[in-house]
Amino acid sequence: MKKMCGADILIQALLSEGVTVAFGYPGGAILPLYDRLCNCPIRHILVRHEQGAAHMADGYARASGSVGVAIATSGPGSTNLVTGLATAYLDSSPVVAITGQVERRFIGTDAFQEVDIVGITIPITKHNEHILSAGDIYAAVKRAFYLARSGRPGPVLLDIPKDVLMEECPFDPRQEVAIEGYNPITEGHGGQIKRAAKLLGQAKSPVIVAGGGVIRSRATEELIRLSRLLGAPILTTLMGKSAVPQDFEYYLGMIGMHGSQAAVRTLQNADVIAAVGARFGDRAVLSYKKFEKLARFIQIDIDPAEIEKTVEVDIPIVGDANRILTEINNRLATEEGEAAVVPKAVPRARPERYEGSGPLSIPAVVQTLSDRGGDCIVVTDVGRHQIWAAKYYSSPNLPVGLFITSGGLGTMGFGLPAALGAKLAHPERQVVLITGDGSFLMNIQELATSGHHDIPILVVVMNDHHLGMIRQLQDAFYKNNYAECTFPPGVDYVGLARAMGLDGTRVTDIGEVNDAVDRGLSSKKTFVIECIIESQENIPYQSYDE
Amino acid sequence: MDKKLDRILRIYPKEDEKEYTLYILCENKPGVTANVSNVISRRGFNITSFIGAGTMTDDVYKIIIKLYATPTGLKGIVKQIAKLINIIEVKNSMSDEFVEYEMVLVKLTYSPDNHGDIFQVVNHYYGEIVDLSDNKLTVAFTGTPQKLDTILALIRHFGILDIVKSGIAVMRKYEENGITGTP
Repeated sequence: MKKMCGADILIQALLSEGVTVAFGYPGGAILPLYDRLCNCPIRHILVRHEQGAAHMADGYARASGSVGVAIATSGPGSTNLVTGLATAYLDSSPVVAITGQVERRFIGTDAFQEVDIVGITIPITKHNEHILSAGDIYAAVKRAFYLARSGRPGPVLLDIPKDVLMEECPFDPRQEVAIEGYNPITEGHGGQIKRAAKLLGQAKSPVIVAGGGVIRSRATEELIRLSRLLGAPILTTLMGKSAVPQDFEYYLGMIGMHGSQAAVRTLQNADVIAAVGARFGDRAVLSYKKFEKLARFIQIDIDPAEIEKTVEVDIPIVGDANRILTEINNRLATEEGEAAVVPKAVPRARPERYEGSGPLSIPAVVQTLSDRGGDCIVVTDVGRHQIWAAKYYSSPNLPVGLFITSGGLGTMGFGLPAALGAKLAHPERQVVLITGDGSFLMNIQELATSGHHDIPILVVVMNDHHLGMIRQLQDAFYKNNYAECTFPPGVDYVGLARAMGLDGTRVTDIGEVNDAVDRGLSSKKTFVIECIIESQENIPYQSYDE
Repeated sequence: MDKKLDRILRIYPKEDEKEYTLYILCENKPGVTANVSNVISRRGFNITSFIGAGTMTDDVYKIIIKLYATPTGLKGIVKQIAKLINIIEVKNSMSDEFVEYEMVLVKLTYSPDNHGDIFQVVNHYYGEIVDLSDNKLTVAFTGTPQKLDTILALIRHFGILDIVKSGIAVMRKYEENGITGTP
């Protein structure tokens, strides 16, 4: 049998999984891999910070639906991945992280750049593994990819000591990947599906709440079919924002703390709430006590651990959303099922619009972007701009599943690298990043990556000289005590872009936004539009109280 | 602030903690025990006994955990443990469904004066003298946790120098073990 070194086996495993792009940053312990990587067809994107690599892999995974790969060295390289892995974990994004480790004989000696990254990432990865022999690499990588993308997707970390990457061993690609304790349930329970279909059919005002799971399982078509069959409005969570086309006639906006009023009122008037791939997060539910009393619940989720984690449900169904919805729809579409459905009026979908005027505000810019009706991928960072974007960006051409945001962990600095990852997944599409001055600066170094690897995106920076969401919280809960939430003017974002070899322009009036965006979208390089925001308008809070 | 805290705590119903036993069958891989105990400790529940050992099947490892938890909390713990990749099966039960057995090693101060008293207890409870030196005596007792509590109460006044418990071994009483991998 042919002998190969660990690094070559690793590359063979990545190639067999169809990896074409990897994001990473070299270092001592991972150099044996880099030594071989340059001679293989995988395109390596050299980032400027490992956190960027993790977010790029995440953004790539969310946009493409396939697994994103991040590579880092031991010690600080691996700990820099941590935030990115936690982000991917909370938003169920398939990422495989490969970290170098010190040589086996040094493990446990506090050697230079040694850290127990497997121990550190236990609670933020779906699975992680320490590979202690080159003969284990191939199977471990196959396993990692299978785990990352199957069931409820999530990040997987593989930690490989340097000498394992250099170790020669016979290579046999015909290895079976078997994981005894892992059998994700995809098929829904027949009896539960029957009960759910019956309950939905008889409901007077059923409501569907779509979460990120709809996007992960590509269940949009079946969701729309269910909505039409029942005449039921669709509401989404933040993660499910782009689960349905924004102009779908039954789509009534986002639920939650900063959702649309129409959505919250619809929830209140519902008698049956069907949650599909939504995990009843605290920001979406507003008040668990009041939420539980709203209606009867059907919960469809692929992860058994999500069932009744926070809210008691009447009919839980574990399995793949697409399959379960198909079965419910088929059941409802029979003559018997149709007869059972209570007829309802078609909800009039009116996407929320921002009508405010006055000095340049974030929602006004978002509304202008939305009104252009483009089919760009939209990526956001985290903060006030994120919620404004989720509220008012409703271009009918927003591609399904391509509103990318860090919903679960709320990671500032996610946007720029994720947008670059998304662009690599869809080079034919335009990518617009809506970010704030706080978030943008957190991973600004990736602008250099964008220039270096020629990954052009459009960045719209909402520069309100504030950490907006912090200011909003201080307004609401800390008696307007604006402690440490202001950034004095003086940072020139356009200048920053130029310093990185890119281009940009500054906008101070709403009338200039469209021209600037036209310029940005036709630019061959990443283009930064700095919007000088005067208004400090807060996002309205929703509640179940009238 | 109290009101806010109360609201947060009310996500989970207010319940009393009870003692539960978890049977876990898992692949014998490094880090499995860390993964399992992490799931329990991050919810703030305390483990009272944790034993792990091989089974009749190579590569399969059995962990038995006794812990105090709220019923809702336990439900979450069981699901989260089952979700871990290397876990093959998790079962939980209340204590009346199985037999429990434990071993305790006790080191006592020994002198010819209390020889008779000590040996009365040792013989009555089928203790085994495992070590004897000039003025120290080490005895092994086995039995249910309740029996061991009684024994410890009886010999306490002899002067206990050290105690080591084995952790509680547990087996289901009625049906077959319900767990694969243990023929």
